[in-house]
Amino acid sequence: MQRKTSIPLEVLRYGAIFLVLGFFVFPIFWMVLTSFKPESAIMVSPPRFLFTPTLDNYYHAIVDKNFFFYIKNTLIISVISTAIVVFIGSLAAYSFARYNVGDGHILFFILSTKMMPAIAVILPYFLIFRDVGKTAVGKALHLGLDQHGALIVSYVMFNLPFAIWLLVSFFQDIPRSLEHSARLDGLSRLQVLRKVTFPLAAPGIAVTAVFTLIFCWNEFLFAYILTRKLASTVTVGVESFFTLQGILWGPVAAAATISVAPMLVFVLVMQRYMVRGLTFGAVRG
Amino acid sequence: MSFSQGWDAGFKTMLIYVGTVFFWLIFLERYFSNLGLSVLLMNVTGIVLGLGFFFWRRKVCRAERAAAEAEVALLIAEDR
Amino acid sequence: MSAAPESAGLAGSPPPGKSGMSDRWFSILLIAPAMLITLIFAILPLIQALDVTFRMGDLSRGKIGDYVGLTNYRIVFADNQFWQAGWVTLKFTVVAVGLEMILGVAIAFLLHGATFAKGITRSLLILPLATSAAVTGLFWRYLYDTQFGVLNWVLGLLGLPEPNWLGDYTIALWSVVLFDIWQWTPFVALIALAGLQALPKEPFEAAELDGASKWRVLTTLTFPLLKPVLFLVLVLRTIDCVRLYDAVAVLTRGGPGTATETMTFYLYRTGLKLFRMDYASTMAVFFLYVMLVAAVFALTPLLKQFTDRAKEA
Repeated sequence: MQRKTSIPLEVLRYGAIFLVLGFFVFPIFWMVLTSFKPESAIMVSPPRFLFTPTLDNYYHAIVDKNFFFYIKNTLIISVISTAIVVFIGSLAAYSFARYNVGDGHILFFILSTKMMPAIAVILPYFLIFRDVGKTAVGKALHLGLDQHGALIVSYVMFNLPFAIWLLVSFFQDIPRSLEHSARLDGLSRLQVLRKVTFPLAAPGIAVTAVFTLIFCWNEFLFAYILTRKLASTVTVGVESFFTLQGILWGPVAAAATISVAPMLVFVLVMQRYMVRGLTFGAVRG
Repeated sequence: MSFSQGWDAGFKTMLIYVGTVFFWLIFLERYFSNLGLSVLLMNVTGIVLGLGFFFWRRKVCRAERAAAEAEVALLIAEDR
Repeated sequence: MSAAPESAGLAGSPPPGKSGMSDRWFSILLIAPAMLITLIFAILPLIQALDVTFRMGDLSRGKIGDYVGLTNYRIVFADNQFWQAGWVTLKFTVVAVGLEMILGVAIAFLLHGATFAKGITRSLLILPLATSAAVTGLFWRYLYDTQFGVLNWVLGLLGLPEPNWLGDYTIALWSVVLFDIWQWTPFVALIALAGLQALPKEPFEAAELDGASKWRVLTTLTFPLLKPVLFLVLVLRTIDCVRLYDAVAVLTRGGPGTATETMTFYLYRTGLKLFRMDYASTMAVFFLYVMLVAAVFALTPLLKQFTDRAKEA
């Protein structure tokens, strides 16, 4: 599309874009900057932009507070949850997209669980996991309170609706004719699914995985209530920097930077695909 | 009425009933001195509204189906 | 290639002699795991919560007690703080979602017209989305700090009043809104941008030939074509806003006083701080009912898209 452009208007446009970006990026920038500040440069007014960088805050977060322990927990929990969500979600979404199973009612039912405030079920969850954790099966699967299994199960439940929602639109974009001809070639339905449909839907499945991973990684409420110490995730770990003397902003910034960094890098790499994924097929293009 | 339509209507009927109960408890119950009477009237209203909705949906669905069948019959008749 | 000629139809009309399963059973088998999980981990806890709403449930005194009929509902509905929390949630949702939609669409238009550094802009814009509200929200307290915060420093430089962001009960809620706007406006903007870029070219060229004014093109072409995307964003944002918990928990803990106590936070306090399981469950059930009714209206058009496309072919 050829546009008539006037220079003042363009200057205004880029000025506005710059301001907007400034607003959205600054808090993250400031967080990273603060994490390298010495104690003396943090609690000062006016805020200081120039200082001698130090790794003390990281030392405090990683060595004194053992922050990598939280990272390890989070990694285990989110990766396993994501794998389960993507696998189960793909099967279900394919069924909804191709066979319209339940004529929309089952899909509505599953999606409406996304509306459920997590807090509404967290009390029953708490009781369920407390009891299940004492049984043999619960012990074997680490399903008790403050164990990884309990969080994994909760995350699977709470991310499944969104994942299915996303995946249905991806599967619907795959032409049926391809599956049809594969069936004519004598493949069974499951073979078609494995050899034709899933490879074709791989970008969509990857996007769903990214979103699920981000949501699991960033989840706070379940982690806060269902764990105490052994299975705590990063979001809970950062809270532990609250002390009676107040918040230690330097170590908080360091811990926050460590816990946010993996997802930031991830999102930067996947950015192109994510935006398409988020339109849920409402945009065809 | 197909199963799917029945499910849909049934679900909404339940929502209407529960909604009536909530509405009654929030806005109307304070005007009753007799709690038992209030609860009785509440249930009656909820059930009447719910069933009313359900049968209305059923009527609509049947009418739609009859219209569709008539259309098909007309098409078949034209084909001949 | 030994299959007999097949009738046109679904992908799965089986070639003779192979797998005896019908499409119907196959499709049910595929959704079974998802259904099982949803039934066990959504419906069971819900039934349990529903059961508690009809009983005495003061956990500080031990176990869940006797059935008391609708008493819990009567108490909760007569509780002013409950309605107060609902009102806070409503205010928060309307203002936050409204501003996010307006700003997001505006930013999308801004970026859509730009030709320079598009990729970098988008990459930077997506960053707030990837961060956890619990983590960055905590850090925002440092930005909001009255003494050492950057926000008040900037306002001071500009000669503007320096509010006590999180401590002043008239402002605290809007500070949480500002944080939510920071985190989620990019989400709206990026989706709206994707929508703008995917718009078909032909109608706009035709309108240009007809000499339609820019405003007319905007109101009669652009927005109607964008409507499905915008509706979807609206629904998603609204769902998240009414369930808001993390930001309140780390920014204000409901305070000062109860100025920022949203529905979910009040529920949390009743259930897990005061241990009144019965009241908390009752609120949860009421909350869920309101959301379900909203879902019927909000999800139906979206689901229709899905089922219509699934029925094609």
